[in-house]
Amino acid sequence: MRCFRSSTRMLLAICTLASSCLAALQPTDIHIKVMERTGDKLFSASPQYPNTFGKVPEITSTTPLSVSFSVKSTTANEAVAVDQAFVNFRHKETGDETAFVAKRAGVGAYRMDLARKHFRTHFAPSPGLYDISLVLGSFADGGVHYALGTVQMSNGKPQQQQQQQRMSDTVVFGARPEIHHRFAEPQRMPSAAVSLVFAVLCVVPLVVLFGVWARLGVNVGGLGAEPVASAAFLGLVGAYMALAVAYWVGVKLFSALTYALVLALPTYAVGQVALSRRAASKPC
Amino acid sequence: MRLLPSLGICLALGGAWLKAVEAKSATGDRVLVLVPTTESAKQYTYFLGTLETRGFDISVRAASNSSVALHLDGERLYDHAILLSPAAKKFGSDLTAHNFIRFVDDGGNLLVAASSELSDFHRKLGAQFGVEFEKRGSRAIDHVSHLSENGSDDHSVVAAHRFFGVPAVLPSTFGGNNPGTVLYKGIAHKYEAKNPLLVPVLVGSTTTYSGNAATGGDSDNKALSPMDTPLSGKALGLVSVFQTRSNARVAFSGSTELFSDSLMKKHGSSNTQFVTEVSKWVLQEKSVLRETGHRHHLLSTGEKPEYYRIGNEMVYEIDLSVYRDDAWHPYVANDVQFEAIMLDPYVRLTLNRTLPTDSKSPLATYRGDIKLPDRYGTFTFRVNYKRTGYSNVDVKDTVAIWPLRHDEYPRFLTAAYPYYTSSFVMIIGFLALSTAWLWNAEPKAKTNVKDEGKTKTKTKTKQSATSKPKPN
Repeated sequence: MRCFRSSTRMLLAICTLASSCLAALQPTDIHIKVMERTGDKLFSASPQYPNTFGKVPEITSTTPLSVSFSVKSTTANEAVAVDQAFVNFRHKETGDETAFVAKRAGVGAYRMDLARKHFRTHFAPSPGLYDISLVLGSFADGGVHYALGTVQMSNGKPQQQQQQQRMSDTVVFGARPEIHHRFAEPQRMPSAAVSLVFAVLCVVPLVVLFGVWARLGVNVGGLGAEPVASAAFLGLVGAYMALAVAYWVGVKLFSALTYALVLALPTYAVGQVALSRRAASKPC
Repeated sequence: MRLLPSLGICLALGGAWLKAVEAKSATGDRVLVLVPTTESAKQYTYFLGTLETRGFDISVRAASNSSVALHLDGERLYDHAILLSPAAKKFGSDLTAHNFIRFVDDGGNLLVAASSELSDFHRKLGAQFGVEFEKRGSRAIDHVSHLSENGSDDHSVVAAHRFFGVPAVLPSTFGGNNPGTVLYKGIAHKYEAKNPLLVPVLVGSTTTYSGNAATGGDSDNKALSPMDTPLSGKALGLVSVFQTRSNARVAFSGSTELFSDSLMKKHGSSNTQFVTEVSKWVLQEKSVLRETGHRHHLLSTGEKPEYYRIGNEMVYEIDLSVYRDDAWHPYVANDVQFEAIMLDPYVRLTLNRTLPTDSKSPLATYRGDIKLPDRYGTFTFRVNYKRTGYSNVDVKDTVAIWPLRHDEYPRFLTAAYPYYTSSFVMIIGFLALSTAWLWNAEPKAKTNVKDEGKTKTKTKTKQSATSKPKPN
């Protein structure tokens, strides 16, 4: 079944393309010119069908392109008028095509002059390499597509700018560039040694204080009057300090307040006992 | 008399019936076909027969039939509409282009076939979708690549072989080195190349142009003027398709004969396959995407929180399926992207497909591990998947990203050791001072014994100084 399909396709292809292979049309007297505004010739070529011209001329808005050719019927061996005489430009990169109708300049003779306004309209927005070809066709004699060569259309802008302009004009469905968020740099910290030195310096006053107290004879001899209650009161006050440290480490606010509330009553009661007895034990 | 042709059509279509089949379209099986007259439907017997075989419920109506309606009480009467009456100036009693556009807006799919004799109705309808048909009377012509059989050439039956590479619409067999040939007889159109919703699937080759069928000039039978830029080549559209943002599908063909028995049954042409693939796409039998579920949660706990914190690491997953061959299948792609947006996208990441636990699962899961940006605010988690030829998938979730709590910032910094130390020093100092202040005891007897010793010594010295010497 596959062989049958491929053979019939081939047959159809042969039938449909027969008009080009056995086309009764042939382009002749082909001349391609690029001129300066002053009339000086910058580029000239006269390729013979089916050859191409080798060089790639540069064309700008001030150097118009001119293509002239004749069309001959191979069966009658004479120039014939055709229904389709286009000079086709195909952008090599994008594949976009623009065809210009060639002007009839005689029996079977045609000419196309690419003026500045045509260049600005069709080629200035999308410069680059273009394949230039002749597309000739007639209802009576079939058609022919003749690739002439390549030309460079320049509008004077740098290529990168042209690419950016081209890209910004089109909306393409597809994956977009990934975006990776740039996180803020962590704050620069001084070295740990510096911090430790200052930490030690912070402890020094406490040490000095205890030293001075020792010399002065500061003591806690009054604890003997009521050791249990006093120790308990001190412990509970210390527990409040520990609760503050725990809040700093991780205990949440309302939990810390709850614990503080729980500690309040015993602290008050024990403190009442300890301090009242201490006051009673002090000489007047 | 009208009954007999209708009956004949019904019998012809009924001959193509197999056993009753379920709808193969993802959006419904009710198709309205509008033809110039019911008799003219005979030339589309093959095409309509294939639709019947695929499980569609076909309703063939004449364009002028006053009972033709698209909506009833605000509901669509049909899921799809095929217009094969290019010369009709209106449809039904008073259906205008606006009614068909409303039909598409409501989710209905449309296949519009025109010809050289198209009416202003079709021109206006096409213009709404970026398709600009050529002048009435013009045709697509190709003097190089055309139908040639039995020694006679018909340059207006173009052998088109330039297909746009849209895998979602046409399979890969329509591209490459041996693309196949579609015989096309009809009018050409311009298409908006920059419109991403409109895609040409069949365009003219370099030698194809739009002109008068007899002389090649424009429709007024005049030769083309020098330096005219006739519609030709790649810019010449033959069949174009349009996918709306609401996932309705529309196809425009400048040729009704593309669907006719004469061209579809032509040996060696790819018309049957081409029409089948395009109609499958338009009638939503293939390339229909859907999202079956999506979720996001914290990477550490696996739970979805009420709100996120800045810098949280989270996981985003989405399940995608594609409809083809009468069933849902996992949708395999490497370009499904996740975005976290607050006015502008802060994160855009390509998701990776995870292997399914069940090999028969009809969905593919795409997953991404994302670290949320260090900006708080109201973000949108979005998967906006738009690909040419496939249905659009746009999934959004609004989430809040909160700043860190006071105790969630980096803690116990080495630079803060002096502050920690000084705080503890203050606590210890407070406790020590309190203890010393409350329970300090005055020094006792050691100081009094010394004074008494000094006082006794002084008293003895005084007594010895004042005592009389004893006589001899």
